[in-house]
Amino acid sequence: MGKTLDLGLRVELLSTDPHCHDVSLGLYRQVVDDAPRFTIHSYSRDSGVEERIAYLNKVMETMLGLEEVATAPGWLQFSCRRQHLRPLKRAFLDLCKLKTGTPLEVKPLTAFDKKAETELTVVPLGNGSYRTTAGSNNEKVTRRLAALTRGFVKLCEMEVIQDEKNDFRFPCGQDHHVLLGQMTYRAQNVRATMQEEEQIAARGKLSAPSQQN
Amino acid sequence: MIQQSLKPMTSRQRVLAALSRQPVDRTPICNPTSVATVELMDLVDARFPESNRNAEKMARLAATGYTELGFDTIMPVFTIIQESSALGCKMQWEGKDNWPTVKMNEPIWAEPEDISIPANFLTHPDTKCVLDAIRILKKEFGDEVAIIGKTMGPWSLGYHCFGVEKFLLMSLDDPDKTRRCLEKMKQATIEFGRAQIEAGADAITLPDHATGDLVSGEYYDRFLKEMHTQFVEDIPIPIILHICGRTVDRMDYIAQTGMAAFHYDSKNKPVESMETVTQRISLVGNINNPETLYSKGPEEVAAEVLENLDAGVQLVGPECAIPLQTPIENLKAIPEAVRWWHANRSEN
Repeated sequence: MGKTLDLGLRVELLSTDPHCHDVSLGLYRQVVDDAPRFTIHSYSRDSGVEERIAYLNKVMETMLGLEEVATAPGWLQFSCRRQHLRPLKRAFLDLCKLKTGTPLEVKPLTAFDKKAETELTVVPLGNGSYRTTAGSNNEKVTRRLAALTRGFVKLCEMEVIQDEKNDFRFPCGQDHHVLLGQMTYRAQNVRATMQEEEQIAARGKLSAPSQQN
Repeated sequence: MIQQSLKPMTSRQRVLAALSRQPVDRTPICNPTSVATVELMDLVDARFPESNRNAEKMARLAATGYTELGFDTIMPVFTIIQESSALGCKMQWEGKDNWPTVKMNEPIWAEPEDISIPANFLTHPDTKCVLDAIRILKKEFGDEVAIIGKTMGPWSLGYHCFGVEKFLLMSLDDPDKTRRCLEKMKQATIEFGRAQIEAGADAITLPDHATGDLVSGEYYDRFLKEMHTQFVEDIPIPIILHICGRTVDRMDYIAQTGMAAFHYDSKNKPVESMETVTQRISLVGNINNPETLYSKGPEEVAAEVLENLDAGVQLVGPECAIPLQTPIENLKAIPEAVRWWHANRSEN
């Protein structure tokens, strides 16, 4: 009799958690009544793993706006009942970098942008739509606002609103302010984020000796 | 050949029958290379790099291939560097989530005269742990499941001990010298293989990385075919040859060696591969690792399993050592798909 569990599809994996004995943390997804739900699981029975997962569940609720499924303790879902998989996967890996017990502070929708040399803001327009804006206006800022918009569209699987070049929205039509706040840094640095994802994906794959250095 | 009217076979019986192209009750699920993952390491508390160097942990992690994933084989030699470490290569053991490697930019040999198999080759901790792990598994599982060992071929050892570029250049500049090197290095292959037979292995994987990207089929014929043919006598157990990449251009040669099976890569289509080997050797494979097992889901895994079964491939499994981050549900999908095929599609 095996000891592995049927937790649905594993959609993301932190292969070693430096804050908890290097255990592996999987983010699993099940779809119940057309609604995706997620849970964090580790197969390790090391001491501290349960506490670690409980903390990370709290992190996911606070920092991404997930809520616990009332009938399924330990499982989380978005209020819109959609999965928002790409930003969830990225944010999960980022949030696992927090040491257990680190106080949680929701990321604001305004962040300083080094390349624009000013603060850029994501303004909610309602019904899951947002606009990137800045206090000042020059060519550099215009470029960065467009880049930030593209970053959100790409990393958060959002849609550009036609004819409004810095407006974009979640296809679910609902607001996710805290998720966007968490993803702002990533949206500002899409290329670095993509490179990091490629590096993560390459790790742990055995190459033939001819392909090794 | 599948005969579902046969009495139910044990996993070991099924694998050994398929390796000799005898009738089986169902297609065996076989991993000639590693199916270890970081989550399975956590499950049985046997993590890399320790589980590559500690026999008890090595056996415990390897056993999950049978107990958790439902494969018909247990293969405890996860890495391709155990012998190279024992030969004196400089190693980078890495951590839990990455593969140990040989520092090939610091080669230990340059000339055939440099090659020497150390007296402690089989008692070195990194080869001895493999032998001990096989003994542990044999004691625990007896004749229930097929235990597969692994001994690296001389071409692969050449890459590790001479460096890839230098070894390949030598093969171009001085084929005779290359042959002398291979002749001397093959002793390590044979000694380690025989020791694993004594320890209880039922079959041996023999990776010899004359891979499709760097070495042509003609090269295989010129440098390795005869030696591989001789291995069949020198290592008297079913041998599963493993070469990565596109290898259809050498499968005919491989089929002439008398080896039991060829572990083939997803760069080769099952049908074309079966047509090339024409029942002279069994095929094992060829579920894609980086795209399918690692990145996709159970449905895509099942589709590749069915393609192999429809083509008549004798043993089904991943194409190579799976990525350490592979989802468990994708690995479990392999035996599930095999059972589904037998229930729904098999003609017998």
